[in-house]
Amino acid sequence: MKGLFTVFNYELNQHIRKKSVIVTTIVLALILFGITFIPRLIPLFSGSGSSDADPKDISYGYVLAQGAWPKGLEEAVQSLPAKRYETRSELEIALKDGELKTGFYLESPLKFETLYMDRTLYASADIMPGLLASFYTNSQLVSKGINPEELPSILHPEVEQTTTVLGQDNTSTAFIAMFLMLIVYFLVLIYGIATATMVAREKDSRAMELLITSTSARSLILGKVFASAVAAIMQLSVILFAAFVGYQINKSTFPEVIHLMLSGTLTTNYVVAYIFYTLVGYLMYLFLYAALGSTVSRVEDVSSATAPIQFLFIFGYMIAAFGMNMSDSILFRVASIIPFTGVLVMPLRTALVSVPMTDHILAAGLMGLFTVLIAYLAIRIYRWGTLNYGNKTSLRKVVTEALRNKD
Amino acid sequence: MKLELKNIHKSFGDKKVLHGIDMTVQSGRALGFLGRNGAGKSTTIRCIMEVFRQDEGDILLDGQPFHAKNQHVGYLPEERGMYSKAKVLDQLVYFGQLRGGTKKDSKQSATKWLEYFDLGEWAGKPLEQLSKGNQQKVQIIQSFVNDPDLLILDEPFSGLDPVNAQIFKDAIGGFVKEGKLVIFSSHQMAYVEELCDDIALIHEGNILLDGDLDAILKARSKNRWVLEGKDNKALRELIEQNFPSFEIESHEDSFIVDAKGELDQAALFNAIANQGLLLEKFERWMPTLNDLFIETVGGEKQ
Repeated sequence: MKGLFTVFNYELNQHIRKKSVIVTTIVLALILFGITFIPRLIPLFSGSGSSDADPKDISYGYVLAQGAWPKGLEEAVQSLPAKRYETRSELEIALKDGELKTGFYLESPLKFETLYMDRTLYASADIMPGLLASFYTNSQLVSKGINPEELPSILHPEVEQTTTVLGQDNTSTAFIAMFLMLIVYFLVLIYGIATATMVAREKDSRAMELLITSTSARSLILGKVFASAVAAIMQLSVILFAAFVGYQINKSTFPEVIHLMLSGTLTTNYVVAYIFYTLVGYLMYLFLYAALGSTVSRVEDVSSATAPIQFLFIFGYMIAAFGMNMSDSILFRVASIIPFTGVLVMPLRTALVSVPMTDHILAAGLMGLFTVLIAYLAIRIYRWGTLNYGNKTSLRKVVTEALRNKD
Repeated sequence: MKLELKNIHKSFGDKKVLHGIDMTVQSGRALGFLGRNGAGKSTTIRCIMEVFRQDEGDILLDGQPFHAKNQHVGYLPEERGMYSKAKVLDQLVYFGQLRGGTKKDSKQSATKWLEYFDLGEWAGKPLEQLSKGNQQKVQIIQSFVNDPDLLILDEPFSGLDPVNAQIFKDAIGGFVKEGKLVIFSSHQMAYVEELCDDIALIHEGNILLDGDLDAILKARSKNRWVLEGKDNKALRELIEQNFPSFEIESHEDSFIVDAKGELDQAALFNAIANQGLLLEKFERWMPTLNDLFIETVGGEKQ
């Protein structure tokens, strides 16, 4: 036990003192903290911008063709604001001189021509059809004795509705659950490779013989994996704490939908499931990565040795991502129970649908069992790998020899 | 303490590496473990350290089964390696703690040995920044941390310059004086001869020689004597005439006589005195460890 604590303390210290870890943590914490200020900052930029698409910034000119024009139309056009020209050629000269960006030649109340000097990407005459159509509709309503202000309530009457969801409402939970699943995804991939590399480096640097003669393989593997797990949790906690503080500061500026999504997702059921499956599944994967790291003698072989497990994990991620739209399918259910995919799928499934307790018991039991078995296997492979330097051996052969090995 | 290896056998697949090793090491007496490359030295040491488990045989410490992890052992493996990116003192303390020391004691001990090997200024630097020779010294220090009761060193002199080798020899001498049990393998016969009281010579997985170094050398001297006279030519002629069964081997200023049995010293001295010759040197010829090694291992080969 003392050996385990010694290995754990040393590995944890080595990990959290790495410059790369410190810098990444600070940068990610600052980014998430900064993101929480976005809703507060949006109003500062809206309304005062200088986009070319803003009709108020466009200088318009117009010409009314010969004929009778309904009363009030010209006032409506001038409100753009727009300047009147008497003839089409005057309008063209104004465009050529750069006085205007857009010109309108109105032939009738429902027909016009747009003129540009140079038509830019943002140049737009969208404002005129709406204006003419609105003017026309209002005129017609007035002529029929209807107050135009009553039109919206006639066209879009307010319909009262209430919704009762007896199970899980996944319309508001999917986004947050997906985001939290992505955290686990990156956690496993980044720390998994780091753990495999750490073990492989001990063989590469020949430190393994010294370690294995100083303490047990069990202390070494458990100490390293627990240290990796705690380091990841510490790093994640700092980042999420920064996001939490930012959220608390800017809570009032967040749209209501965000609050609804958070409160809809972070139910007790989901939080318990997320923490359990993430922690146990994460440990299981770290043991797998540590075992695979023990099978190679050089650090550069780590990525090829860990490729099968990476594929398996990415497969789990794809089921989780695509399964969101078919959260009550058999595939999604089976994937949530199998430990290797369940680490990602089960928390997501818990957020999206009501999961029967039997499924939870089965999934948690299997995951716990697999974690213990893989930890045992990792210890055996690590011990076997102590002095097996040289050519890469097939995984099946490694497992067979490691289990047979009596050293 | 007495460490005994009894009938140790070890195979790797079909290849039998150790064929019944018997060997005894006593505390307070350094044992030099000799053998050619591939003779089985490192395999034997790894069996002692439980890196491998022997197929057959027992390893006993004072009559009880020996388990390296339960004892206070300082070990320097043949395959050198520590954490290249970790700071020197940090990892020395770590290895000290792994072998059962407290953090405080390990730090104190590591600092003492770093100073002893003139590496104090490197304590806070990553190992990879040290020269190869200094890295080798750090490797040695890790085996010394926390004052181990048993020291098992596989090729400790490799990579050390003569000055550092002398510093290391002094340290080993200190451990032996303190009554520690010391085993080290080496190809450098001069160091073994200087440091060791006992030797074990392994060849192709068999122990060919084992025991007190002086006694082994004396036994190997047979009845060979070194003679040097004022007139070596006349002296040689006299021996050839009076003792025709003797084998004579000339050297620069002397010659070695093999009496092929018990030498009748009185008869030899009388013959020399009667001839009126002057004898300046007369002593038993003793082989060097190097002679012994080549003679034993080379002879086996033939």
